[in-house]
Amino acid sequence: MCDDLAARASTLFPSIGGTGAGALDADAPLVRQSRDGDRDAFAALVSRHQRSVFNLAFRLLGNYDDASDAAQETFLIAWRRLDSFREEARFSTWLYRIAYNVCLKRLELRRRDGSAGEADLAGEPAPTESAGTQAERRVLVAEGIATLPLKYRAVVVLFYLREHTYEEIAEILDLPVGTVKTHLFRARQLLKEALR
Amino acid sequence: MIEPRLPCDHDPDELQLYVDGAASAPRQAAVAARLPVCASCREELQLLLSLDALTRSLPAVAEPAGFTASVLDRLPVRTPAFRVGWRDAAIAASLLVVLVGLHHTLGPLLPVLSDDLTLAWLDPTRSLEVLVIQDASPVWLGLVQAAFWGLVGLAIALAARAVASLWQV
Repeated sequence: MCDDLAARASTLFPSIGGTGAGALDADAPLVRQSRDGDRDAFAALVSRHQRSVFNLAFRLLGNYDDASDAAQETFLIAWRRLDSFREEARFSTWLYRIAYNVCLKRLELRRRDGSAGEADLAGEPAPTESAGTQAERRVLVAEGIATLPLKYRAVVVLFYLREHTYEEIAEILDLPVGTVKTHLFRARQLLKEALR
Repeated sequence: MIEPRLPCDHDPDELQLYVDGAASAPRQAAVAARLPVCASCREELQLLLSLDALTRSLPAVAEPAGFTASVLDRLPVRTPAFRVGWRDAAIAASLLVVLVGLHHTLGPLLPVLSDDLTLAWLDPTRSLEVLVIQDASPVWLGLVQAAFWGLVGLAIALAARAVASLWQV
């Protein structure tokens, strides 16, 4: 039983480790072409990353339309600021950092306007009688993530859904690695409570 | 709200590092050795694994149809060469300032710059010859000459690139 648990842990979650800044970034050639104004190259980058950026925004903002706007804004900013991308990190890391900041700004505007921004769990499977407890638990987790404090939510989304390492998350969120771990651990504690 | 400790008083954060494969090898081994004898840790590990599996299984939400086209429609025209051109021009200008400074500072070391301006600027060999005759160290003066003309070449190259970039825009 214990061996089984340990084996599941090691296969499900391989060792966390840095990827090496900018190492073997498959996006690098497209980024260079985009810098020269090649719109087709940038279209390829958008196509490659739009699902990830959109889902990051969706999980952070909790609203489909807001997430779409934020994702588009992210790519527009990336296009304008391509010259400032130094290839010291992966392009996706740089892109998620922009997306995170765009979402932060939108959440701040929401807070000032006093609009809560209704949670919109589009895409989550609705729990049904026949769906069984697994689907219900999945919805509970999705709702739990949506109600986490933003600092925890961002770490959870990047760690689980985008499968970033502690180090990459630290870079995206501009936080020390230790803080990323603390946020992730506290977020898990909260999510576990939602599951109990 | 948050349970900071496990009933067994083991550190729950250590268990999370274990799950992530991020604990050091000795700590990883210590947790593995503890699991068979600690029911609380086993229960916690089971819950963590279940939570992680559920979270990773959340489906990705599809972005709106035509997303890429919408982004491309809103892209302004990029003029990267313009920015590079001005940067190069600034570097070239800085180099020229350095050269003028060198001319004034090292004037005594480079008498050709003051004695025979017309030929010396264009003929580093001749200027070196003049300097050697004046009993200066040939190695040092050679290095100075090489650096000087290297800087001149770099400034010209950068200025040319800047002009070419601006021309493209």
